Amino acid sequence: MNAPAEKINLTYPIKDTHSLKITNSLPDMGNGPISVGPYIQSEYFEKEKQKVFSRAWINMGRVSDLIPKPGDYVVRDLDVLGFTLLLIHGTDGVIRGFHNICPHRGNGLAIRESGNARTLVCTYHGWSFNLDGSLKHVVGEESFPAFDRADYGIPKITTDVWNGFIFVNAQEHPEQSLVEFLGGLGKDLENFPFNDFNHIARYSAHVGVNWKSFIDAFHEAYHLIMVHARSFPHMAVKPGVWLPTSVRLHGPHHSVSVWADPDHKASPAEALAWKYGAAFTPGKDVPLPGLNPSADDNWWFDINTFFPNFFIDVGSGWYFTYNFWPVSVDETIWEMNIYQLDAKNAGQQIAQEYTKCLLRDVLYEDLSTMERLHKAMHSGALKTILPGTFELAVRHQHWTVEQWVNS
Amino acid sequence: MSKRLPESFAALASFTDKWVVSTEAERHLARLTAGMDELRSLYDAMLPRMEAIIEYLNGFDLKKLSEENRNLLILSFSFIEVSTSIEFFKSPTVPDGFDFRRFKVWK
Ligand code: FES
Ligand SMILES: [Fe+2]
Repeated sequence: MNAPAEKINLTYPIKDTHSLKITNSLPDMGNGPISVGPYIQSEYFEKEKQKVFSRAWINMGRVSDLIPKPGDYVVRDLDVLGFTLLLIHGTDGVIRGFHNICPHRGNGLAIRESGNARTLVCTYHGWSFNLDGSLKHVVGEESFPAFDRADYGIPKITTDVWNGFIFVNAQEHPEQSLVEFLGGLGKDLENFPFNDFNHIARYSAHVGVNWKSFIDAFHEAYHLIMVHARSFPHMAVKPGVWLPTSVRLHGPHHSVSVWADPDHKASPAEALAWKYGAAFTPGKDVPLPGLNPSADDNWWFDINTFFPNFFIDVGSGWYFTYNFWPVSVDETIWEMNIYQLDAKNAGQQIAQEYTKCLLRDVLYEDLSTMERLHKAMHSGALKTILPGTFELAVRHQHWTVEQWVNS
Repeated sequence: MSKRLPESFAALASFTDKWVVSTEAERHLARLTAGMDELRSLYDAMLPRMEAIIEYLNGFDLKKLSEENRNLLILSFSFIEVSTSIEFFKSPTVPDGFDFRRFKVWK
């Protein structure tokens, strides 16, 4: 895994703009076709559940969105992990994760999707629990002769918080702490002011495609040429935008910086957004710690892919996240959340509205190809796919899944 | 009944019924299900006034906008909402895009 850095200096056909910088050592991932098997085989999906999702730290969202106040709780069915998660914001401020299970005889403890409580009371026989998971009260406790209260807390799920993001790990004792797991990518984003941002939009869709293909639509810019030809009319056809300015591999994760076209022509609405605030498209840079880690010229934004299924893309005054939830080998639920710095006036808020609407419409374009290509993979006629250098991150994601599945 | 706007922008009154709706989901659905003529008339009426609207609204505390000013701000959001249809897509929906009935807008 620690092969010497491969020199990639792609100057053609990008000779007038930039060559790709790769700052970390690049493993030997090959450069040939990739079998479609892992995208369509149920057996492979079962292995992914065990070897990838049950071992990695999995992002659940932000404290501020899910359970901002002490006593807040939220319940999430995690099909891919085979359990239902109960996240609780304790009165002591600690975020804890549990199985949504009453240890008496197994009723679901929280029966609503979310709420605020000081005590959780089981709706079957009334056992109650403190927010730290410990048993509080048993109705008719004397009727349980062989009974040690300490054995009857809510079953725990390993949970930790990084920069306001909640992660869970299906292992009782994870091989790596959350910070170790996030590694260099976590470090690069350590000082990004996530807490200064407001949540402004949430989108989701249930799509008939394997989770890996879904992810692959979001960490390369090669597809701009066709998929986004309408929404980025001038930039989409420029070879410069297809090739990242830099790629950083951080163990299983990676970060890709996208080139900004210095001759980008703003539409009338977009020009308003840039005049009075900030927009998604390239304009003026709003410097924030953690952006543009390789100090690229003509930098647009960074795509940060946290293995296995979470993105935090960061740009000038905005960031957004994607979570990809595998439902089966053939289905994925996708969620997007957009965050912006506090708008100080109406002009800034109107500019933020522009970023939000444009991103959302761009997503309709991105999602359009998914079910077609999944069908193609099932047809038997498509045996392999071929990611090129523009799509280095696609190859890295696929290669990393393979490494984990075969470990 | 049209919703109230600040006096200097009263010319936009005819758009308020449909386009002064407070959530993104409502504005988005209004756009997706409108005809291009309708989107075009909102866009054409708003674009030349947008700078004046922003300069005007920037004079107020965003957190304490009066009802008229709030309506004007939301109408501006609707201008932004329809702008991609006019400027990029030439269509209320995203051409060849994912089915909007399967795309959930939460806010
Ligand atoms: S199952 Fe919860 S109290 Fe019996
Ligand atoms: Fe895209």
